[in-house]
Amino acid sequence: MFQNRLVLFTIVVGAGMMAALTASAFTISPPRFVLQMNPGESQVLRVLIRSSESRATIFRLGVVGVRQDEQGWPVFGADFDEAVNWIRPKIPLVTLLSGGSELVTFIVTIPPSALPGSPHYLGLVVHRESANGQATGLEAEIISLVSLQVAGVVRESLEIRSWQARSLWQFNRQWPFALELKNTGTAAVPLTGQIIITDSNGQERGRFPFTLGNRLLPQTSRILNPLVDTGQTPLSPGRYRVELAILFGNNAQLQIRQTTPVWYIPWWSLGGMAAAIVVGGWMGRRHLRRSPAT
Amino acid sequence: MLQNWKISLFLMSVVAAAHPFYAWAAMTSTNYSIYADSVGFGGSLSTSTSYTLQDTMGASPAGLVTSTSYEVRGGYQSAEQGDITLTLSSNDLNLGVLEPGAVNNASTVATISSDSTSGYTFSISAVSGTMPGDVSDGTVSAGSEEYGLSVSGTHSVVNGDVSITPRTLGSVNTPVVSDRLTLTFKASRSTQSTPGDYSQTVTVAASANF
Repeated sequence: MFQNRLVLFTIVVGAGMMAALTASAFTISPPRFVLQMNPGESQVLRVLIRSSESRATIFRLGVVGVRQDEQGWPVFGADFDEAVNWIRPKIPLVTLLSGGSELVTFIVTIPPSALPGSPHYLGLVVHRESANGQATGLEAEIISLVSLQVAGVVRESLEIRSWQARSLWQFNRQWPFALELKNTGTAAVPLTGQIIITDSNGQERGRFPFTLGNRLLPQTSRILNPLVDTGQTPLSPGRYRVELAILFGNNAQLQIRQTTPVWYIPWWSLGGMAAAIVVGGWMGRRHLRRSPAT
Repeated sequence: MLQNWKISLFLMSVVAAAHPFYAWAAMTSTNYSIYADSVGFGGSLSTSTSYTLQDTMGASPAGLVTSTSYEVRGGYQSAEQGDITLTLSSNDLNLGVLEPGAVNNASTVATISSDSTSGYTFSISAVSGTMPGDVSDGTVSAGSEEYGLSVSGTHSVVNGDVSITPRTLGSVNTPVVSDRLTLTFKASRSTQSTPGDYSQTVTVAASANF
């Protein structure tokens, strides 16, 4: 039987079991590059690697494409961007002694056929190779981000795909909303926003700064779930207009707005309404009893 | 009987009056179609010889776009000052011999420092090797064949136990010094699991944000 056999069922995250448990630590600089280049032009990017490893360590250099997910986090993939082929490390491997450092070079060459104004997002990868070239359980790499814009006309454009309250009816002071943005332009845009609450008379009742995250890359969507705490704002039961105002663009001069309605019906007002219905019903019934039968 | 009917009618009227009426509606004609319009609480009907417009109050149309164009010229390069440092407390994790009815754990601590004004994101960028079944229900449970990872730390973005595939593990949008994320790998097996040695290589990556 299966249970009676001596079963060796081991799991190792990595094949380097015989290696001593070692910590890895290294640093790269800079974290980000911004490039604007003409088709046919070349530039050199330099990345400083500092090793804090306990022994001599090999670092492998590479390039990956980068996208942004709906939370705004970078995601890496070799086939994400054709421009991966436009950048190459001058040397593929660097060996650093413990405590050593080296400035490594990546060469960027834009092909003459590159589309003017097109954006490209890439990562310069510094990958720590394990001892003896044998894979260990956890491999570590640090990636320097590159925002590369081919010279030409670029367009900053932002679209609010969706802006609405999670529920039209809000019974407490925490109002949840759902927001979807999409960068429909050809340049990454920084974003700042605020939420403005206006009552049914058009009177502004409160403004709430709203964090929209880091720069939004072109043709990328971002989904956010802001929660507006109106606890410090005097509000009476009724209908409110909740406006999302976003400033975007490298000069933060472009603005986009959208509103959504919210009915604020606190629990105490529901109790009052129920009491009014009961009293009204009782009074109506009393009135009908007093009326002579026809 | 008549009185009860009248009372019911009265109560229904009160309820109806207390709740404002609203409705969604798609608009169409022979010349145009609006897929979905917004919630309206009022408005008026406007007419002319060439068009008919039913406007609404209290809601803006979706999909507002503002844009502008400008020219980018080549020959520009800038690099953000500062460093990113990644430290792993251990590169080798051994989950040992699995027994039915137990969950085996092994942990490592990733310490990240970032001078970038955009902070950092720490993620699994690649996975290779063969492992038992991925956790799919949020918890690696004793008695079933599951393998997964949990991440703890102030800036963890992982909830519960998750499968080990390329994914974001932690992120913050401000500079940090020695920010710690504890990665706990977990595995369990059932009595039906196929015996053998399993190994996997997981590549973790630290970067700034855009």
